[in-house]
Parts: sequence; C-alpha cells; structure tokens
Amino acid sequence: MSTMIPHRDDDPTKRPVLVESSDFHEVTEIIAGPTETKLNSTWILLLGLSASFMALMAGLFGYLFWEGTGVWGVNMPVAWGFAIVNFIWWIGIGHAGTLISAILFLFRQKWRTGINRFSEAMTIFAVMCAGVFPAFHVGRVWIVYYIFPLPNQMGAWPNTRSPLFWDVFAISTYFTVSLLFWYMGLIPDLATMRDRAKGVRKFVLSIFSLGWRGAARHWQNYERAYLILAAISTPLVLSVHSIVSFDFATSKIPGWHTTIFPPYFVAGAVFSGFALVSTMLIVAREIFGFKKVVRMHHIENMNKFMLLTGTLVGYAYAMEIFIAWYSGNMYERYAFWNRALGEFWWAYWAMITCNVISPQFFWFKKIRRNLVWTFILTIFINIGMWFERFVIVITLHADFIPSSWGYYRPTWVDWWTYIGTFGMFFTFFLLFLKFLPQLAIAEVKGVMPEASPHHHHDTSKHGGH
Amino acid sequence: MSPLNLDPKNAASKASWKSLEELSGSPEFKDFAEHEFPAGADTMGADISRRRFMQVMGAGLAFAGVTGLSGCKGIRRPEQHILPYNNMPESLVPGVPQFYATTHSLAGEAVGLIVESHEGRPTKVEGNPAHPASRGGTSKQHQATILDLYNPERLKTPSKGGSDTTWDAFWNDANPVFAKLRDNGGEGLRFLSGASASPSFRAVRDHAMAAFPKARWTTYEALPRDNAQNGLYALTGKAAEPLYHFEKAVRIAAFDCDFLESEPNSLAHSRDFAAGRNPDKGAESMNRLYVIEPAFSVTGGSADHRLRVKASAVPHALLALARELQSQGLSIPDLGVSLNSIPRNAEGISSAWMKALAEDLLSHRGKSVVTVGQYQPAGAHAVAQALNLALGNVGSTVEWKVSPVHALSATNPAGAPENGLAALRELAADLDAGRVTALVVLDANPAYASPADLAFGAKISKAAFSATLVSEANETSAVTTWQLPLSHFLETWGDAVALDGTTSLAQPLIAPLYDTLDASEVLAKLTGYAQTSAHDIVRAHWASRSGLGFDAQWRKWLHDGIVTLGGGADAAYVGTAPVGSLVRALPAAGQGLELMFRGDARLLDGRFANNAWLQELPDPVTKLTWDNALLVGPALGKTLGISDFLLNEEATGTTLADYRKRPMVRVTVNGASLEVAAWILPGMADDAALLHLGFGRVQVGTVGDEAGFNAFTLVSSKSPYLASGVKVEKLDRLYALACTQDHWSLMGRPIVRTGDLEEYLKDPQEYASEDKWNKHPPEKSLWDEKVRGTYDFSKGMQWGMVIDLNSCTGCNACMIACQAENNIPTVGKEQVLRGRDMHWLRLDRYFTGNVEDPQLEFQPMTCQQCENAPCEEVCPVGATVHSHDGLNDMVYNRCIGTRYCSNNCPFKVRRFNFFNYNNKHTETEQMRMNPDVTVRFRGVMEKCTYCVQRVQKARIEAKNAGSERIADGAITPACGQSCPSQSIVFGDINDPESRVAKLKAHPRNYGLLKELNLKPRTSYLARVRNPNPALALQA
Repeated sequence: MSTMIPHRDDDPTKRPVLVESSDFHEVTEIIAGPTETKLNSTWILLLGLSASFMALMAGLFGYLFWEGTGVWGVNMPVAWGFAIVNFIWWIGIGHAGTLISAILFLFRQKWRTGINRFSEAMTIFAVMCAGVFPAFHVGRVWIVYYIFPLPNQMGAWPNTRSPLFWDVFAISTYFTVSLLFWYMGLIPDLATMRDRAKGVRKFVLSIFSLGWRGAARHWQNYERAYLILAAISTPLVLSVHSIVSFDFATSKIPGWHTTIFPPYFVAGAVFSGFALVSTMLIVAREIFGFKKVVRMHHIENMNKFMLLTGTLVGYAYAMEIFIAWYSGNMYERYAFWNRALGEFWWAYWAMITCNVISPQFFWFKKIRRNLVWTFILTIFINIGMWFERFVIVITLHADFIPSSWGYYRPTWVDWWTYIGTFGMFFTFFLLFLKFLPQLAIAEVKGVMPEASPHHHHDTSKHGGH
Repeated sequence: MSPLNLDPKNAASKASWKSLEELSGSPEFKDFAEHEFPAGADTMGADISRRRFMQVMGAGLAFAGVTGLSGCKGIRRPEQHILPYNNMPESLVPGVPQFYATTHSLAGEAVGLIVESHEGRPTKVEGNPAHPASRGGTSKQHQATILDLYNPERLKTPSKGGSDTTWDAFWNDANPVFAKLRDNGGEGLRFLSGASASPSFRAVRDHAMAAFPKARWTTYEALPRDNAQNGLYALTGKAAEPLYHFEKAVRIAAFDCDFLESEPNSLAHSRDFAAGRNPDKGAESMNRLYVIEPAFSVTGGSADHRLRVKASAVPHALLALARELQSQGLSIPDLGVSLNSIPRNAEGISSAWMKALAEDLLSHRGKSVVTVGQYQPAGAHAVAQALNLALGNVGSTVEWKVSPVHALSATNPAGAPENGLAALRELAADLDAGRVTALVVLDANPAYASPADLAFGAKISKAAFSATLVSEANETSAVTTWQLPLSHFLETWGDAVALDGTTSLAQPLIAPLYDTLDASEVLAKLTGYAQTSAHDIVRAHWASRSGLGFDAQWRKWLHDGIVTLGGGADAAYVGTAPVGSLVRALPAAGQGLELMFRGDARLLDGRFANNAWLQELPDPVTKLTWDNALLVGPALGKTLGISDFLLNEEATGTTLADYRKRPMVRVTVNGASLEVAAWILPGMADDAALLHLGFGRVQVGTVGDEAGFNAFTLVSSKSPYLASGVKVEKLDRLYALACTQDHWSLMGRPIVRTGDLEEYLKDPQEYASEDKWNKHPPEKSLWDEKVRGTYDFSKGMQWGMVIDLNSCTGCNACMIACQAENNIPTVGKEQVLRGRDMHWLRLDRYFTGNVEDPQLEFQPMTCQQCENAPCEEVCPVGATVHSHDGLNDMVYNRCIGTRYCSNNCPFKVRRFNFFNYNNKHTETEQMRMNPDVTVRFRGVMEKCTYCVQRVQKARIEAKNAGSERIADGAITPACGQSCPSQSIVFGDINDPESRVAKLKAHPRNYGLLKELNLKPRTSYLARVRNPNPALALQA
C-alpha cells in the first residue's frame, strides 16, 4: 500500500505498528470494557434522540402509507425523488464494510482489523436504512410482496427483465451475507465477553457465542468459514451497486443510459462508504478511547482509498460528459449540459466540489494524517455523494420531449423521512457500540506483534482474556 | 363465528372434515350444516349486496375476522353496493350503452349531440354526425357538460333568501305578483336571459310578451355575439350572420377572428378548414390562412402568415386591405368613407404584407374568405362582408344567413339585431330608477358577467320581486329574492336552430336529478302558456308546424336529432345607409398600452367556472390551469420589469428555478384596479395586454372558488372588450400559476416536423424523413424481437393511430373527451403545481422562431403504444404488458406503483395516482363514471389505452356478428371521436385498405424517437405550411 510501510510478515520488527499496545489484555479491556460499564447518561440521551428520529421516520412512513405517495415531492417527469436518492446513498455507505471485511481480508491487508467490525456494522445498518425506501416508495405498499417470486393461483410472476427485480435479490443477498459475515466475525469476541460476563449477560452471550471455547479446531473452522464468506462477499461488493446502477443504465433516459454506470457506482459506493466509516470512526475513537487500536495509520489508509475512489468518480464524471459530446446524441448532450448549467446546476456543482475536488486534498500527507481535515473532508464527501445520486435521479426532469419537462421539489415529509433514517441508523449503531465489541478483538490481537510465532512473549504480561 | 374449539375426541371420530369449524364441532357449523344453503341465502332481499352475497357463500371456508382491517377506510378499496333490476326495462341490456340524439345550446349556438347512456345514466357526450354544426365533433364545453349534470353543488330545490323551500311556495309567492302585473300590462316586469336559439322557447317568450305587453325582455350575453349581426344588418337590412364554408376557401384572411375555436360554428369551421388543408392538392388548392390578431389564438397558431396588430388597429388593417384591393382594381361597395384617404402604413401594418394579401385574395375571387371576429365592432364586420361581396365570395364561401335567434321573432320578422349591452344598460337604469317591480333572470349571471360600472348586481335588489333560474348558486341568484333550480339540458326537452337553419331537438336522457325545471317551463307557468311541461311545449310547437303523421315524424326527429323542416333564410346585399355610419364610427386605433378583455377558452364568460374538468384543462395557448393572468408580450414584459420570469432562454427554453411563481401586477383602468398575476406570452401585439374573463367568480361552488382574477371588475360598459389608458405596475408579490407545460422550445429536436409546401412538393418522400430530420444509426435489438414477444405483430388486427399535425388546431377538446371517457380525475391547482396533472392525453404547444413573433406548433401527445415498450421492460411485477393486438396494456390490479415505467417512458405520458383522487365522490358524482373503465385506486399508474374498452366492445360485436375482422372505422377512440377536425385516425395497421394504414404509408408520416427502436404505434403526419412566396422574405 504505502511505501512508508515495508511488508514483511515474517519480520515483526519491520511490520507497521497497527496496535499501540503490546498487551492482549489491554486490547480486550479497551474493546470489551465499554460494553461492561453501566449505561452512561450521554449514551442514553443520544439513543433517545436517535430513537425519536427513528420514530419520526416510522410515523412519516405511516403518513405516507395512509395518504399516498403524493406526500412526497415526486411528480410526473420526476417519478423518483428522495426515496431512491437516499436508497442508493445508504446502499453506497454500506459498501465500505464489505470491501474492508472481504476484499481487504483476501488481500491480507491487516490494518483492516482495526476498522472492520465497525464498518461491517455500518454496512448492515446502512442497508437497513436503504431497504426501507424501496419498500415504502411504491404506490401500494401493502402489496409490495408482488415483487417476490411467490407462486400464486393467477400464475403472475415478477418480470425478470426488470432491474428492480434484480435489485431485490442483489440487496437481500447482500444484506444476508453481510449479516452472516458480521456475526461470524463476532463469535470469538462474544465468547471473550461471555467469559468476562456474569448473570443474564453471560447467558445471552453464551447463546450467541455458540459454545466457542477458542479451541484450535474452532479456530480452524472459523478461519475456513471466514475465508469462504469473504470469497462470497467479494463479488457482492462489485455486484450490488452494479445492479443498483442498472436501474438507470438499462433505461432509455438520456443521462441514465450509459455503460459507465456499474464501475462508477461501485467506485462511488466505496468512496462514500469509506467516508462515512471514517467520519464515525474519528468520533468513536475519541469518545471510546481506542486510539491505540485505531491509529492514524488506519485513518490515512482510508483516506488513500477515498483519494483513489474519488478520483475514479471524477474520471467517470468527465467521461460521461466526454461520451455525451462524442456520441453526437443531442439528448445525451443536453442531459449533461442541463446537469451542469440547467435548473439543478447547484446540485451538480455541489457534487463536483465535494466529490472531485475535496478528496484531492488527500494527496498531502499532512492532511491525510490530520483528523480535523479528514473529518471535514469526509463530511464533504458524504454530502457530495448524496448530491451525486440526486443529480442522477433528477436527470428525469428533462428527457426527450421538452413539453413534458418539469421540476422537482422535495416536501417536508421527504426531508424528515431522510433525517429520520439517520435516527434509525444511529439507534442501531449506538446499541451496537454499547452492547457489542466495536472492534474485532481476536483479529486485532492477531495483528499484534505478540501474535507472531516469532515474537518472544513477555510472559508476565500475557493476559489472554 | 366463535373462536375455534377443537375437540380432539371429535376430531378423532371424523375421517375427513371440510373445515376447521366442522372439525371443532362448533354450534355455528352444526347450524350451518343443517341448512343446505348458507344463512341468508333463502331470504335474500332486494337490498342484499354482492359483497354480502360473496361473504355468505364463502362462509363455509372463511375464517371470520381475518378478512381485513375494517378501520382502514383510507387504504381499503371502497365498499360499494350494486343493485339488479327488479323489472327489466325493455330493449335495455345491462352493460350495453344506449345512445340518444339531443342538442346543446351554448349562448344561442346549437350543436347536435349523441349522448351515451349506461343503464339510464348519461356518461359521455359525442357530436351528432348528422348535425351541421357538429359533424361528429364536439367542443371541450360539450364534453364537460356531463360533469355539470352530476355536480353535487347544483341547486336542488327552490330557495328564498338562501333557505330551501318548494316550488309551491314559489308559485304562491309569484302568482299574485304576476296577476297584478297582468292587470297593468306588465308594467315593471323584466325578463333577462342569455341568447337562445330555441324556437319553442321563443314561442313561449313571444306569448309572454303578448300577455304582458309593457314588459321588457333583455337578451344579454357577456361575450359579444351581436357585432356580426349589426354589421350585416347595415349591408342587408336583416340581422344576418355569415356562414362560412372554409372547405371551399383557398385563401382566408382572418382579422382577429378565432374561427377555429371561440367563434360560433367553430366545430364546422375546423372540419372544413382541415378539409382544405391537404398539401397533396398543391399550392393552388391547399388553403392559405392569413391571420391578423393582437394575441395568439389557436387560429393564429394554424396561420401561414400571422401579423401582430393591436385590437384597436384591426379595423384599420381591414380598411387598409380594402384600400389595397381597390387600388388593385377591385370595385368595393360604398363603405361611406374614402378608402384613398386611409394610410397604407398605419398602425405598424406592413403595406407589403397587405399588398401580398390583396393580390392573393384578388387572384382567388370566389374562393377566398375575409372574416372578422366578434370582439371587433360592427363596422369592421360590415367592411369584411363588403369585401367578401366584392371578391365574389358571397354565395360560395360565405352565406349570409338570417340569424336563427332573430328570425324566430314573431313580432319582428326582419329582426333588427339586438344590442345586448345596450339592453342591459337600460335595464340597469330602470332598476336604478325603481321602474322594475319584478325581475326574472333565466339562466344568466349579469351580476358577475357584466361591466363593473353598471353595478348590476347591487341594483337587482331594487326590484320588489326577483327570481333567478340557474343550475348552481351564482352572483345573481345571491341577490335575487328567489333562487330557482334549473334543469340540465340532459334532463329536459328543447330545440334549437343552428346557424344554417337546421333545427334539432333536445330530449332528456335522465329524469331531473333534483326538483328542477327548465326555463321554458318556468316562463310558461308564470305567464300562463298553454303547455307547462318542456316536453309538451316543444312537441306542441312542432306539432303545429307539421301535418299528418306527426307522431312518426316526431319519433324520427328524436331519433336523428334533426328536424326535417325548411332551412334558414338568406339575406341579400341592399347597401343601406348605416354602413357608412358604422364604418365612420370605428374608433381610432388607440395609443399606448391597451388591454383586451376576452372570454376564456374554457370557462367562456365564467359559466363553467365550477367545472373542474374545464378549470384543470390547460388554456390551449398559455397552458395555464385554474387561473387567468394578465398576458403580455416579451417586450412589454421587459418594460414592466417582469421579464425575469419569461421562459425565455432561447437556447434552452429553460427558466429560473422558481418558475412556478409569477409576479403580481396592479392593473388600473376605467377608474378601477385589479391585482393580477402576469404571464409572458410570446406573439402578443406590441403595447397590448390580454386578460381573460370568466375567472375570479365570487359566488361559485368549491371548484371555481378562488380560481383566478375577476376581470369584469375592470370592464367598462362604454368599451367592454378593449380599454386604453391602462396602467400596469409591478407589485412586490409573487403568485403561483399552475402551468402544465413549462418549456415551450422544441430545442431543435425532430419532434414536431414542419416545413413549407414548396419544400414538400419538391420531394414529398424526403419531407418528414428520418434522413432529413433525425439521422441515426440503424435500429437494432439486442434480442430477437419475434422470440422475445409472445405475439407476432404481423398477424391479426394490430391497432395504430395517426395524428395529422396539419389539421390539428390545438383546441383541447380531445383532452376532455379522454377525461370523460376514461374516468380521469382532476387533481386541483396544488397538484398541478406539483406536476401531477392526470390527463392521459395532452396537447403539447411549442413556440418556434422569434420570441416576439413566433409560430405556434401543437402536438397531441399520449401513449405511443410502442411495440418495444420501454415501460414494459422495467416493470418489476409485469403490470404493464403487451396484448396480442399490439396494445401496451396496464394491469391496474397488478401495479404496485414503482413508477419505474414512467421514468423509462421517453414521452412521459404515464400518470400516477399520487393520492386517492377518486374516494371523495358523492353518489351523484359516481354516476358520471364510465362503467366500462376501471376507476383507478391510489398508488397505481395509468395511461392512454387507445380506449381499449371501445376496442373490446367492437371485438365483441364483430364476434357476435360472426366475423373475426372488425370493420375499419368501427373503433374510434374518444379523442378521435371528439376531434372537430378529424385529425386523429385509428385502425388496423395490418389492413392495407384501412385509413390508418394508408396514412401510415403517406410520406408525411413519421414516428417519434425512431432511433430508440420503440416502434410506436402512434405516428404523426408532418405539418405543411403554405406561405405566400411573395411574403417569404418577411416570414
């Protein structure tokens, strides 16, 4: 990855310092410790706040269910609005988790251990936030199950040519595999916590740790299963957002009908995913004090990912415009001209500023390693990626026949539903932070120099669990 | 049923059981099993619903209590009850509609109609092909009358001062008043009505005037109908009106005359104009239309040459033409002015333009027409008809017909034309002076639709006795003592004479829904006419004019809708002296900004203000709904400081983000001022502004409430349609105007294909070709289309449509026809502002060329029924699929509302039910629904089906007749049927002999977005303009 860090697994002295601790017990304390303390009032306050927003979201979906899709700002040229924008955005957020857990795992990127649990959890919650939108954006929510291939007496079957149908499978597979992967990784850590726990907590943790004793046999099975799941997840990283992009790419609409969408969407998803993981991590490591485990090295690596994917996305933007011009197709040309200079120009330039310009700061090592800069830039990227999806979806407002062109303006319900999904995300996330190990204890230990067979153990400090 | 009580012993003893209830041995089940038929089945009364029936029948298998969330009324499909006939009416097959001929009179203009009735409910109005004023076409107002019939806000009983009472109470109140009036000869009795073309009503009226000789009758229409009569009266000595035959005219000069839409007889004009618009006939036989007008009308949109001239200068343009014609050697009847003294270049009228027009008219003597619109003074009409006479057009392209309304007068057979406004002014003065003791207003609304300076409404209360007969409460009924409910024309009998003298009968399709009476009935009862029911009045009137065998004749008249008794009389030129005085009385062309007041294209003078279909129908030119606005041209807009709001970036047709909001302006004129939203309309004459009448009603139902601005408050009785000395100031407020089309530019896209006749004749094949307009790589499918589709579109009947852009005038009648036929809801201004209007068929309007003086293009746009339909590919649940006959069908039951189909539709013709637009209908409103078309629920997509219900009906009829093939022309979609110019042709594209197949083979035929390989079934015939080569440089 970096020229700064020589890669020699067998030479512990040359390995990057991923964990600023030489003590397994300290690592356990750092990570498992917060789950064992009493609920602190800040956490309760934050959970209450998040849960209220989640309740608001639920209420607004109820309102939508009761009144009709018209409570949103969608209209006739722009039949998809915030719901789909938010859906893609949340799905994109989830991508960092899978990439970190699967691809980086397969590539033996050991620094991933500091952030994988965290980002996997974010993946799951982000996919949940994403999933509510397609379910509720349909006009008749109560028969949304028509989209599943359920045998019925009418012989009516979903249309397998529709990208929305592909979406259903792409996202449900993604969610299932991500959840399994996450849970799989949690088992040794849950066992660690079980061993430290008492009473009801011990009972519950015992159930979920599936009788893990840390036996070599267990570890062997675990490593094998983890590898298999990583192999299953790896194509999903590429496929999910590719398939989501097919919603647009397979359509006829100028600005949507483009073959660059699948790679561009994947790059964008990883981009936004890393950005949000980074944002959250910076906050969490400050609050929960695991700076020793999540080090500047991790932040910097993630920033490099953002630089790479952000530049890829920028390339895609440029290529879209070039191809639109080069195709000579008047509709395509206008679609892109209109994106940049039409009624929604502000969204386009917000997107360019946030997604193309802001990651370029990461060329500078000082900025890459500066938490304030990183935090601000990741926020920019999150906003920019939301605008990217907005710009794409809103392309609908001016397609082929000028007479049908319209405008899109979200309603208060759109805004608050979107804000409400943050409530849902943070509610789950806060519960995760409190009740589950935020970092992969076993894996972190695995990348510590002490874990190397060649490491000479300081027996006095060997604490294990 | 009680909760299940499963008894294991019981269960063990049963080898088989058919339900859990049986298994449980519940007492209900035992009871149930004892009766062979379910409870209630043997006692099923007339009031049992189908739903109840199904519940009872299903009881053996149903788990009670799991059938649904009974509280969720907002979400569930509405529960409704249907009732069968107890005694089957003869000749009525349930589900098979019946059609009856009738007649509708609108401001004295009669149009014959055929009305569709389902089980006694009229649901759809069509034109009567046998009636000369319809020829099968209808206007938007005719189509929308169905909605008025079922309007729950109609007056249901007579009421006095707002409290409901009975007709008996009214007669008890009125009879002593009329008895007293009879004694004094009717001194102080005044009647006021709108124009009528009904002979039988005229007979009742004449009788009334004879019985009350001192009474006065005021016929007042807010929109002018008497200028043409007064103009021709000066030439002929008779109240005649011109009857045009545009099919015979190859050169037409229309001076501020919207003969294709708002002028009388416009349906026939559209048909005739279209007939003469065939470019294949060549330059000499295809008509050429010159339009001189101050603001865009649809006629101006059809023009080959259009000259922007402010309204006050139009008569002078006409005189300039007369002078030009005279100088080119035409002998013009004496107009009382010296034509040589008329400046050639006055009022910005291009002399070259006039010269070319004069030459063209002169070289087509007897085959040309000069027309003037009703908003122009009588003198202008006199000049125009004199020119027609001089050009030899009278008798060929123009007939001077004695006006049916006035020819009816028994007391004044020659019929000096009435001057409605003068009569109203007189009535206002009488009221003011206390000379009126009793005022009866029959179906008119002078308190709203009259010049503000008359303050007519305020004066009505000075009459001791006053009554208004009207269908819905209005401004006039609010100030009269009595409010009497008027029958809808579909509830009563009547008759009417058309412009050419054809008489047609009106028969009811339904008994009055409420306790209502017709105007003739009320008048007859008040004045002691021999018959008092509308049926008897009409029948007795015609019986007295027919001879033996009247019964058979009457039945035939009712069946055909046409009375076969003599036509109208012609008037001849006698050259009376008033010509000169009329022409000399023409006001000088105004200086500075002038403001026109004209009837709205949809609401007319406001009488349709409570009709939601018409309120939501976009104005043909501005595309505004639910409002009127002060219309100004781009240059004037700039002067007024409102040009920021012009949809005017030439390159894009795009506008500012907040474009739905428009600036408010204060218009001050005639000593009154009005705050009104301003709208920039290209193609207006310089220094001219236009404000449509009919909006801003004060006493109106919920629909028309707060819709638009009341322009009548600015109207002065001295010059009601044109005001000068207008002051317009921009206010610091914005107002949301709901426009259905925000972008007016074609963006250089080959969507509407137009060109000149010369170009067309040079190479017809190339004229509308893809090569010329839309070069693209060959279309190629990724899949084998034959394998992909279940159906082979080369076999069997395959439906297609051709829309002729050359004859489409953009009148919008098809939109309402579609709305009525397909149960399309209206959504209200807020939803239109959100871009959620539901019209399946829309009329796209584009401006091309110079923004100040553009050309207008119309294009009806609806589902193109693509063979390779992009919507079908993306629907995840297969709710939109193809039929074997090539229709892109919507399966409402299957639709979950992802709206993906709409996104992928290149034409954006799909419409989504964002709310449950149909759940608030009263029972009366539900009656207007077409039972052949599903009423869509919230959350489903809908769109044009090519009127699949009509296709299926024809198919069933053909099959019943033992044929597999449906005859060409047996199916007409609602849009095509209403189209006055017959621009929409539908049929089987696989039948080479069908009209549609022949049109599809025509070189002007083209499909949209061919490069997408959509294979649309709807195609268009390119528009061909026929400009005068002499004016080519100017155009």
